[in-house]
Amino acid sequence: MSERFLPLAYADKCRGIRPKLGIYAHITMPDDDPVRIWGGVGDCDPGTNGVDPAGAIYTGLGELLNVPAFQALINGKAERIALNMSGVTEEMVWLFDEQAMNLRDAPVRIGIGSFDEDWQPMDPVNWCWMGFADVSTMSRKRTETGFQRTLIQNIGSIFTGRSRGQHSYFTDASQQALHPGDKFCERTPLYNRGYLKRWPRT
Amino acid sequence: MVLQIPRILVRPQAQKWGLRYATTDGGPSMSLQDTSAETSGGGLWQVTLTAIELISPALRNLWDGFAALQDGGATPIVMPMFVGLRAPWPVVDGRPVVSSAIYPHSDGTYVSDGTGYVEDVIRSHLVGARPLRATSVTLHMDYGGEITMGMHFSIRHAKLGWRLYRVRRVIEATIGTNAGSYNLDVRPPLRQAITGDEDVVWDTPRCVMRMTDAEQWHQEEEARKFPTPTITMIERLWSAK
Repeated sequence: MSERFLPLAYADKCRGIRPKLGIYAHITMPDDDPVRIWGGVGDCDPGTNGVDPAGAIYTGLGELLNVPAFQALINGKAERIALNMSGVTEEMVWLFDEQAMNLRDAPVRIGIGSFDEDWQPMDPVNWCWMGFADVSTMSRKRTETGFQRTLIQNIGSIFTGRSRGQHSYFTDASQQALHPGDKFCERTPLYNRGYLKRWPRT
Repeated sequence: MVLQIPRILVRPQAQKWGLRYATTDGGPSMSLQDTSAETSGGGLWQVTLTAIELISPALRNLWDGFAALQDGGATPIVMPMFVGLRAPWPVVDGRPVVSSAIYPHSDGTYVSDGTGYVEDVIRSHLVGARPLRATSVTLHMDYGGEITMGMHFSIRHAKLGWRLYRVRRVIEATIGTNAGSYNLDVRPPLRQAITGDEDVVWDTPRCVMRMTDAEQWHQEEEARKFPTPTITMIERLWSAK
C-alpha cells in the first residue's frame, strides 16, 4: 500500500510519531446490512466517512487483517487480491460460509484510518480500493495449541474477469455419458502427454 | 455462559499480565523516521500464571473439573488479577486496609460454618458517560486510597462483561482522606461505551478470558509431588452489537 493513498495531512502527522493505523473492510450485502470489519481489537467506530455517512460500528477481528499490497489500475492491469483473516468468529463463518452465494460479487471496499496518541480516530476512513467479492475459502490447520481457522476472501477489481478455466476430460466415458454412441473420444486412451500425432498420415 | 473461576484454584507462584499488541516494523530507517506502525487498536490482554500449586486431591479434582467445564476454550472464564498491595487500598492509622469486615445475616447470625459475607474494600464509581474506545474516564473514589499510574481496575460492561484496564497516567485528581475524584488516562481503549454509573472494581480486577492451549490444563502426575501447571489465557472478545 503506498503512502500516496493517504491524505497528505495524515502523512505529515505520522512524521516523528509511531503511526497507529486501522485497516477497514466494508462489504455491501445485497439483502442484508453491510459487513463491517477492521483489523484491530474490539469494536470501533471510526466516525462518519463517505461510505458510512451516519457512522457505524466495525467489528474487530482480534488479529491483524493481512491485506496484501494492491495497485491502482494502471495501463489496464486488472488484479485479484486475497484477504487473509484470522481471529475468525462464528459470525464471520456464518457470513462467509452460509452466505457465500450472496457474498459473490458484493462490493468490497478497503480503507485505512489513523488514530491519534489516545487511539481516537484522527481522520475519516480513507477508502482507497474497491473490488468485488469472489470465492472465499476457509482453512483449518493444526497448530501447536490446537486448530486455527483462517478465512481467505478473494476480491477482484472491476476489470478482473472470472476466467478461471473449468477443467474437463476428453475421455470416452464422459463423451458417452453426454452423447451416447459418439465416437469422437474413442481413441483418447491411446494418447498421452507428448504423443505426436502425424496429420495427415503419410 | 461465562464461568467464574474460584480464586482458590488460581494461586500461582508468578503471574504475568500484559497487553498483546500487533506492531509492524519496517526496519531501521536512515532518514531517522519511525517505520513501525501499530494496528491492533490498543491490544488484547494476556496472562500467564506460572506454577499454580494444586496441593490437595480436592484442588486437583476441582482443577480437572474446571478444565472440563471450559470445553477446550469454548466457554470463557472470568480471570482474576492478584494485585496485592498495588491497589489503592484505604489507609487507616497509617496502614492499608486490604480486607473487609465479615458481615452476618440481617438477624445477626452467621452461616453454620461460622463464615459470613464480605465485600470489596475499595468502592468507586464512574462519573459521566464515555463513548466506545475512549481512553480517559472520570471516576469518584468513595472509599479508597490514592490512585497512581500503573494500577489496574475492572468495569463490568453491559454486554461484554468484565474488562480490565490499566491506568496510564492520572490526568487530574482531587484527593481527600480515603476519597477523591480522578480523571484517568487508561489503556486499552474502552471496550464498550459507559453510561457513567458503573462501579469500578479495584480489589480484584478481572477480565473475561479463554484458554489458549487445553493441554496446559493437563495435570502432570508425579510421585510424591503435587502438580504445578502453568497456563496462558487470552482476552475473549465478541462484538457488542
